[in-house]
Amino acid sequence: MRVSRRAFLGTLGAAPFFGLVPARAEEEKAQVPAKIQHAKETTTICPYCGVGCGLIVHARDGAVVNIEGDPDHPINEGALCSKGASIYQISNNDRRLTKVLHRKPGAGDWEEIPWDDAMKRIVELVKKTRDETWLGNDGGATVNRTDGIACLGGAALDTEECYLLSKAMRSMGVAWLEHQARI
Amino acid sequence: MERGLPWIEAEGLKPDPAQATEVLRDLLSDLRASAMSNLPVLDRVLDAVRTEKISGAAFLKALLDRDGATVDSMAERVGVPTQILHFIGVFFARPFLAAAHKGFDPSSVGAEEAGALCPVCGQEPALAVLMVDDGRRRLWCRCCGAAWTVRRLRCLSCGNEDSASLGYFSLEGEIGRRVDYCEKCRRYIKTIDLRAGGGVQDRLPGDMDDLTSGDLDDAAVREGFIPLMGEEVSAEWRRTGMGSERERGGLS
Repeated sequence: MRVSRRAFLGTLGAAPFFGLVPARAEEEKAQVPAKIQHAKETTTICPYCGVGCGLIVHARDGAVVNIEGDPDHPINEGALCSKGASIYQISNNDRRLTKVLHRKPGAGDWEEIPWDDAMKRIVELVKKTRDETWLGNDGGATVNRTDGIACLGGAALDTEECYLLSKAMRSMGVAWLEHQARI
Repeated sequence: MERGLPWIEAEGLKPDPAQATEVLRDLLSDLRASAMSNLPVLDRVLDAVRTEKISGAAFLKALLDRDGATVDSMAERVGVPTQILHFIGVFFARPFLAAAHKGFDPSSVGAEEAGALCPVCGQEPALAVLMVDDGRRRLWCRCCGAAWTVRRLRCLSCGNEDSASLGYFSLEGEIGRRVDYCEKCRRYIKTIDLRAGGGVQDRLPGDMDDLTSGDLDDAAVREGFIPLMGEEVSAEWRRTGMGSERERGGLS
């Protein structure tokens, strides 16, 4: 049997008639339409370990309101570990840092600094460390590397980010290059 | 299922005419007994069945053949609104359809392979539930009572998988009931999240979920969405989930 759209609407319309739904309650609902709240579901990958479980993120007005395991993801089929299950707290957390904090040498307090200042300081330290530990030749062989810097990629990095990170580190002569997913 | 066809085809069903009339009489008698007030319209239908103005077998055949025009003409003959007969028809035909698929297990069809139409009788689903165990989406067929699993993030009408144009809404202050919709084709389906409020028990939806969620239908229509059910909505992929819109070249 196939119920046409007209018949379908009629089916629902007939429900109060048969007393299966209190007609008065239906009328009240019709008089004062309830406000509605829209939300979006988007799939993503858990940023914690290297397993790469699938997640569904629920967002309302641009804010995360819920995160759950993706039941259609072949790796986790809807299940999450305890860290993954609490991942909602990454976004909704009053302890989450959203600005760069800097503690000057000898100081006891942290202070907010602009991203540009932070990046400039990081670049200065990388350059200084690289220059101080640079090894151009090792046992007669040209190696052009620094043993003073190591890089460890996190599971939150996707393939493209790992590629860029790898290229950036090798271009600076970093040999100690590893990724969390291989641990 | 291999060719995307439902298990039950109306042509293959040969219900016993006497049994059809008996089931219809019982159904109408039960409806009248459980109604909250006197229902002259229901009495008229019951009288029409008793006096054989409506043949149970002919009514059932019209329902199984999806012949809405015949049902409409029957309603006119009896002098009742046509939606009354359609409403009765859903419950009248269900035991015959359910008996025909006894032994088949639609849940054996994987979420990737299952389409939006009932794998048993080919009808659009009336409701969806999100299961407690793993959050999977199961659809429920109002006509034959079958349930089957489908992907969460895919429009049941046009196959859209773009999360930017898929969404859902719920009524303010409510948890556990929502309307999933597609902004591309404007179709929607009511969904019950069994996990809401600390739910621990999986179950399939039923008629009461369907009948008591008319406020969600009202809200969806107010928002400009269209019920999933409808003769005008038909796409080959909906019979089998194989081949998403993206795979078929529908999305660039």
